[in-house]
Amino acid sequence: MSALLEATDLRKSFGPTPALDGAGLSVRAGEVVAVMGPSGSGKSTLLHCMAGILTPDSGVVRYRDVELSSLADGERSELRRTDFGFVFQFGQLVPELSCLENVALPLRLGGTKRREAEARAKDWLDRLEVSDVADKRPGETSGGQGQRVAVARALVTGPRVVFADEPTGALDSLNGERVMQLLTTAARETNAAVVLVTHEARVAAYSDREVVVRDGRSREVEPVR
Amino acid sequence: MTSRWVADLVLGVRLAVGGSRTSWARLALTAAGVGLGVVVLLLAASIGPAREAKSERVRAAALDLAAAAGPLRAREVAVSWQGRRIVGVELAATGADGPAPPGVGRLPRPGEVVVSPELLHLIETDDSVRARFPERVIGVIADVGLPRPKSLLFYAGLSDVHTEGATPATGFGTDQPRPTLLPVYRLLMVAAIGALLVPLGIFVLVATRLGATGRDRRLAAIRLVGASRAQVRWIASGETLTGAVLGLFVGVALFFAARPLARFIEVEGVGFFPTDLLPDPLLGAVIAVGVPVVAVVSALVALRTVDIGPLGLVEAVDQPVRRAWWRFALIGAGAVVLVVISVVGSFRRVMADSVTAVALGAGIGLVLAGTGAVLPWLVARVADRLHPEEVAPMLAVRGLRSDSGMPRVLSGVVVVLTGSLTLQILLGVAAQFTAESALDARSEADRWVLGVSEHTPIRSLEEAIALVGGVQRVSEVRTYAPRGEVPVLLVSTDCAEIAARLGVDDCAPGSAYRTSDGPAVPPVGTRLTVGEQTWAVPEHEVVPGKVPGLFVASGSDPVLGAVPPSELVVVGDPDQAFGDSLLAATGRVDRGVELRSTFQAGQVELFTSLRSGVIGGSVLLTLLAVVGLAAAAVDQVWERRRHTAVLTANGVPSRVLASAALWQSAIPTGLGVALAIPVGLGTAWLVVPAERFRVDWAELATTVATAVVAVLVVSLCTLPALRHAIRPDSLRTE
Repeated sequence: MSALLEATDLRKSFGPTPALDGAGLSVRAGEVVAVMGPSGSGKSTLLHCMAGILTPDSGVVRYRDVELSSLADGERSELRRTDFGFVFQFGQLVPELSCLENVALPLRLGGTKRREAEARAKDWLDRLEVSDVADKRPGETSGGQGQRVAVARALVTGPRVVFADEPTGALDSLNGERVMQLLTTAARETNAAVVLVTHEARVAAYSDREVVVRDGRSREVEPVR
Repeated sequence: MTSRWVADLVLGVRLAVGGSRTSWARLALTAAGVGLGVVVLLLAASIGPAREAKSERVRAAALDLAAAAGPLRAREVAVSWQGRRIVGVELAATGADGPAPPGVGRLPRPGEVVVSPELLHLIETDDSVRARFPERVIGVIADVGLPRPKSLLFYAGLSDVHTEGATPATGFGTDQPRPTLLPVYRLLMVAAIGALLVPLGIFVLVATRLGATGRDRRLAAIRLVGASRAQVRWIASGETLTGAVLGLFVGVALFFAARPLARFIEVEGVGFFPTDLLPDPLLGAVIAVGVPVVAVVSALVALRTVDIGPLGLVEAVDQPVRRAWWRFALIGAGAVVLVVISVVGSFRRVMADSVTAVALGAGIGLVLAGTGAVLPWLVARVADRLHPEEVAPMLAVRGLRSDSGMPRVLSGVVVVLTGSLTLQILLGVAAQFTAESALDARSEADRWVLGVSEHTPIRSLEEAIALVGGVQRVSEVRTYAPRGEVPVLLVSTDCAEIAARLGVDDCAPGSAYRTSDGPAVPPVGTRLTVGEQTWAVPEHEVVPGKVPGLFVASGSDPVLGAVPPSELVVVGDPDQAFGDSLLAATGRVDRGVELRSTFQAGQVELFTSLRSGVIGGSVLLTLLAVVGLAAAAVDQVWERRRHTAVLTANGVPSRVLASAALWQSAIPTGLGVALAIPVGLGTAWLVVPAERFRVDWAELATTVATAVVAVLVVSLCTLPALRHAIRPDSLRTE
């Protein structure tokens, strides 16, 4: 099966500090790939480049055979809205909106009517077992509930790829396990690929395969299971 | 497509009214800030219509004098009470249907008086005022007949004794144009409008930019889930628009809620009825549309210079460095406009032209806007070069390098300061002109001229004057213009007065004089009819000068002595209080006695009211700027709470952080003052004639010190917020 998303020989520096030094990664539809490595190894930068959030200094990122760097900002924004979903450790939910509105936000930005957007958002909140916080604002929920709301928001548009950067980094182990279970189960049900950045082996255990990033270079490893 | 941006705009509105305590507080702060600005704008937009309405009432109440007979006979009178002038008209109908003045039901008969509410209050509470109005009060003048709520005005029935001396009138209301302002006053007004509106604009901008850092973070989160740059702009516009529109409503509500208070407020003779304060429709529309538009445009301009990315990265897009040229270009363009105006002609002449007046206001506005724009650039440049050893100033300098929030807010204060300094100089020049008008009208400061009518009881009047402390001399002056081939004005008085008027020192009873450059007088011996008698022109001496008339030290001349005096010249103290005492004393004898030496009272009153307006406007704007500064300073502390908490967690003592916060205000304040003084004085120097330019350094120091203290006090007021920010829980971001 050909790759849905593929990064080749990516190089990226922030000022004089190199973050990626020839890293690469290939993701097929429906698979969960864990990107592991120590802090500062460049794994988050790799994720951001693959999602089209950052533009690499050199190298190529292809999504469904289209080079991301050739897309205009509007097209990349549309891609994030329709084909990609994001679950980050911090700063992803809009504190002024309720959880329901947060989940419906990508649909609303895409032009879906409010009633329909909120109905679909409600479905996903139900599936992720957080429908009781629908009317609360993110600041009024627990960390685990907030991350499940974020997962619901990442999946509500039916994305082909979910980018998860340390999604359990701020959670206790029990909540972390639950979030990972829900994320990977829901992704597999919808045939969405997941690029999972983590430094925890326990979290990486939910993936189909693992890639280790160290000093800006990536290396495929055998599955842990 | 249209519904898409509307949806984005609505999302922005939704974000603004998010419902969390922080978002409500931010919205309330913005609405309060914009609202206060709108109140001042509406007040400014109401001044024109208010003056017009007042002027209309004044014109409607003005006596329409008739050349010959008319349905009324009227005598305008003025009474002084504790420095306030009580003006009125004594009226009598010559027929059955004499027209009543505006706001009065019927003409008062002899022994009756109709008074303004304020005068009624004085009559009821003050015996000395009641003594001057022995008539029966039959009514109160309605608002339509009063220039302002606290006017001291009356209409009394004309007693028989004064009927002869009264003037025939057809009624009330005149088509005469309003008196025009002295050029220097117009100059002052235009400059004041320019100087006051620019900081107001900055203040409104600052209010709409409160919470900008949090907003950028929010927008980044929205970018992450797929909002394009264009969508983010619409969302930001919606968010800003909400605060601005809410502020607009708050401002309009505050304005109309506070409007009834106008009836009770009068500052140095300037007051309006609540109904007068209705904004000019065009200006009102400009405010209603302009405030939200300015807010949205400022938000969009701010977003043009940064790129809010999905990771919350806020990157400079087009302006990697703060460009200086356009900031100085604004000042330069304003200065060029002012120079051109002063080169085109004398400022007195050009001020008669409204286009030039607008250009002058625009020139001053450009200079001030440029000053406000230069400050953040200047602060950034200075902060880049400063490398303090101490920790607190070092933190402050680092803060100033990375954040333009405080300098931007201080720009408003600096613009107010610059405008105030310019206006101070202009007020000084206007005061010089006013003082000259006074000297023109009265060659000697200690001579007070009382105009009397032929029916005024002179003996009683002189007795009343004698009781006023400080009187040195009273001279009776009789003037008469007999008909003849050569018109001549006969002036008969004592030698002391002739010496004062003509500068002669050889006057004796019977002496006569005329001036070399004055009008010719009939030849000596020419017989003239004075009153009912014949009088021959005496031998007279020609003295230098151009005072018109044939001056006769009449002594015991029976013919001239029979002419009733037209003036009493009182020599006494030169201060205004003496004049007031004179009017108070003479008013008890005859309300019709007029103090003619009161130098161009109208212009002085105008200057006073202008000065009050300018000072009031400056004070109001300074308060607004300080409120804006306080709001923005607290906002800054709140936005930077995590950085502050990180520093505390790393062991930086709280007193060092407090000291750093003060340094962070003090450095831009010092630079702002250093900028405001030369620009403010320079602008004034360009506007006023060079020979009039004077700097009152004490006044300047007071103004600067007030601004500096206000900024530092506001900075101190942020310390509680800072203490809250350094709590460990500020380290949490989610």
